[in-house]
Amino acid sequence: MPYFHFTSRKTAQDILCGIPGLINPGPSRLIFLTPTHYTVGHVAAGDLAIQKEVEIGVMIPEDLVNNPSAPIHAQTIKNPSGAIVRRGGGLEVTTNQPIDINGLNWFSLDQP
Amino acid sequence: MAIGSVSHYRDALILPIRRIVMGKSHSHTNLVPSLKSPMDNFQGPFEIKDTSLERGINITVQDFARQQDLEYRARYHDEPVWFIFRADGEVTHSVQVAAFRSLDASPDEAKLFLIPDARLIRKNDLQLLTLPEDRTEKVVLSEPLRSLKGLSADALRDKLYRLLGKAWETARKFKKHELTRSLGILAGSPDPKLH
Repeated sequence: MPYFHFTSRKTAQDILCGIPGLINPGPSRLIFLTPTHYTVGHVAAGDLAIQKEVEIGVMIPEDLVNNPSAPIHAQTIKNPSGAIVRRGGGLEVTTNQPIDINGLNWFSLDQP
Repeated sequence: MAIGSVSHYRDALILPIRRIVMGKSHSHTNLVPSLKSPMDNFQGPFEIKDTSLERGINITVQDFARQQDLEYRARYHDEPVWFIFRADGEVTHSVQVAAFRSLDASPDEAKLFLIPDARLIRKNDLQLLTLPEDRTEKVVLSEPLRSLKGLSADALRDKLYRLLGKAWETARKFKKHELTRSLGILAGSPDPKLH
């Protein structure tokens, strides 16, 4: 069962240009993954509660992910009036270990 | 990361794994209510540019979560949003911490908001339910970032601890019957092969 990581075109570019090619944890100290294969950017952003642009996905074989968490449902981000910023609810898996991107399959997500 | 009760989540989760989630053709897209509403008069979440304040929030949220045996997300998706949360049966209670500014406020009038919340996933139809907007609006706590910036590390921690404690007390009292607002249907149905 593969995982998927979704990110912006710029971040994907930075990952792919880096040597060695790794997805590293950011300020959250986590890498966010999902077992769900999204194909449309805004659907992934909404379900996974990602606020930055979601333009690129990468499929990651299970054996490349060390110590994945059990899946939970992504958080719902609200503003102070209760309006929804991101719905969340999609499946979220995390790891705090870098992921080697050598040979992985990257793909573009559809626009709205 | 505090994933304390993994088995609890595993039992509670519906796992539409390996499903391809399409946008236009997928039913949930049509059922999600408009994300803009007349009450949507805030901008944010904003990056907290004062590094000491940002670090203080980051550390205090994590410490509070550990002390209360809650799970947490610090800088969720590497953005300036923090969550503490705990699943209690079907209902997950949470507090979101992030900086917002009302549309008519000046840039230096941003506030740190603590938003108590709750939600559940109705398993028969995979509906994601949460609190009505007006219910959320009545329980949020806020503190101007300007006033927090002036505090010592200890005073900031004490202040945030009190706010988190109060917000968490509110969040954990939300009941299932209060979650009447549908955020739409989650992607896919459970894959029976995974159970």
